[in-house]
Amino acid sequence: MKLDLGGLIPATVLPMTADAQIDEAGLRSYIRHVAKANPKALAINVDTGEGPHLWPKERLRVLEVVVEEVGDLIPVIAGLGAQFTAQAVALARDIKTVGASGLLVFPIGAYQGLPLDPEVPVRYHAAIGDATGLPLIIFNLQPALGGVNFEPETLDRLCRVAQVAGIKEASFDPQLFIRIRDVVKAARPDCVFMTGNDNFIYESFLLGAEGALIGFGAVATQQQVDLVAHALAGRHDGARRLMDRLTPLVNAIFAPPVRNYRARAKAALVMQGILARETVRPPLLPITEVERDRIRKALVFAGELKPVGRMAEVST
Amino acid sequence: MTTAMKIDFRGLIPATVLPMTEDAQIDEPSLRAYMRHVAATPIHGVAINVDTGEAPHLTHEERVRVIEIVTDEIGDRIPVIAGLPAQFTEQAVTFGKDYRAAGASALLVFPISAYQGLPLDTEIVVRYHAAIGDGVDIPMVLFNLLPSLGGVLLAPETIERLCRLAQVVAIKDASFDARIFVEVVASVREQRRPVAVLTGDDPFIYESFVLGADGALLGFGAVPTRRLAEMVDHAVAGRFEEAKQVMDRLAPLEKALFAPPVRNYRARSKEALVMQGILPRATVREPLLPISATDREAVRRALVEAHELTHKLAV
Repeated sequence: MKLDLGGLIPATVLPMTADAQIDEAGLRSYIRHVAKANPKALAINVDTGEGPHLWPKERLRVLEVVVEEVGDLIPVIAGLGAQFTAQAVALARDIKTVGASGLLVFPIGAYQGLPLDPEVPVRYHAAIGDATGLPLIIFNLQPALGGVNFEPETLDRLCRVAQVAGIKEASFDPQLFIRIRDVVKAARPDCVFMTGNDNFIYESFLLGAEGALIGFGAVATQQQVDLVAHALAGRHDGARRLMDRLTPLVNAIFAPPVRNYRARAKAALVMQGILARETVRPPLLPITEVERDRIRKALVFAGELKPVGRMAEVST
Repeated sequence: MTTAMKIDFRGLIPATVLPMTEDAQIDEPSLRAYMRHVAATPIHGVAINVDTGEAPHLTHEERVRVIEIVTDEIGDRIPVIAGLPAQFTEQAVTFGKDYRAAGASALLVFPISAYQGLPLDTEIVVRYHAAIGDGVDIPMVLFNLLPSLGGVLLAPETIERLCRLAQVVAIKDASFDARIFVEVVASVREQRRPVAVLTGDDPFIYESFVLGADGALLGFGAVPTRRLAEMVDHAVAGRFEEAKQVMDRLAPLEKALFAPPVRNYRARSKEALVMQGILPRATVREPLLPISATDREAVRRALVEAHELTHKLAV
């Protein structure tokens, strides 16, 4: 399915059974729920969906289920987490066969250590692109989360890899965001510049974002679809109003330690009656009641949860 | 192999490279010959399937095969410590069981990406190691690794809790920071169980022993294996002057092999072994890239300077 990256692309969570296996029925109903908000695409098997903690076969099964459920309506972007080139190519081919419309290419361990020879990421992306022909999304991820902030020369060359269609910029640094925007746009004007910065979602659009691929989109999806649509249409008052409502929620979900955001996002969806349980797979841990309370209040503030009746119903 | 070989950590455990064919597949005959060469030196074990051996760039099945080949070749004489790189708990247990079945004597447990992002809840690290210890029941070596190389520096209380796990026998410190190294030694010494501190700190290998290291687990050991093992033996025996003399000779080679960008040290180590006539070729697997002719010259000069290559051989 044709990819249009110019809007909200939520990275979705993966509903799990009580013993931390894929809850297929839960996944199907959750994905139908997200699809009702008409996002431009879905990003699955990324960090939000616990992609790093799934077996390769499980990732393919998740993709299969999601494509079966909403693939005729919404393009599905699959996270490509690999360790080396030949492995990435093999995984990407399988992903293409199952029906993904694009790949979000995760940074690999070999990028660690400075300086990073541009040849390493360029050849890695080119090998994946050549083998599959699938649209690729570059992932610029801050080092504190295991990624790399690519140097301008590297970005320039990455953008020129034929299959590159967009970049998810998640430096969490507005200054770097601007610098990367300029390099990307100079290299490839048609490379869609997407924010992955959950700490300045609305402001990203003032700074030139053309879309958003964010884990926060897993919750309150409709409001974020509207927010991004307003921002892209230049209706900044409308976008700002929605962002103000959502800010306590994004702060609650992405509070340190950020790795807990998956359990927190699931907790929010449980409170809303969208998921059956909060279970995350080890090594991730469940969250505390203090965190749950903060999320509940933020959901109410965002208009995502009714203050009294619903809260009484779902809180335990 | 049913009983894991007991490891005496008071010596050198080199992390070895993985010889490859021209198309970057495991070169089994060369791996066997290289292992026999390494095993003929006074080492206390070999560490395979770690970064030096390109384990992150091997499939799980290939890692199992490497363990089988190495234990088949030298496992009767030398303990084999296998790297355990995994992504999540259940996967680590599954992989660990396979590595044990293939003949590994112990596992070096790599940090996982879930450790990223501060603060790191001690519980995540402890549960991960406890699951491997319980599930695989094999001696484990902890890994304290510099964040810029994709690791995490473990807090003293985390190290103390990890050292209480029954299967933990050692910790490899690669903090590259002498102050942290001293803290690690102190945390480990507070434990009632004996846990060995192994230096993985290439910038201060010799000095690590002055600071309290019990042994060394080093990628640098892949090349000047015999002399580095002798250096460590001197240091462990308290013959610091002799140790320092050997280390001073080897220092230029260490600097050349681990020069930035450090990821190239695998290609550089293989080039050095090719120059020494120990490996037939220096192929590394992508995403790693071969080194330049200039880099190769630097390695050659450093080998000569370290007395690991005669001028005649270099021609």
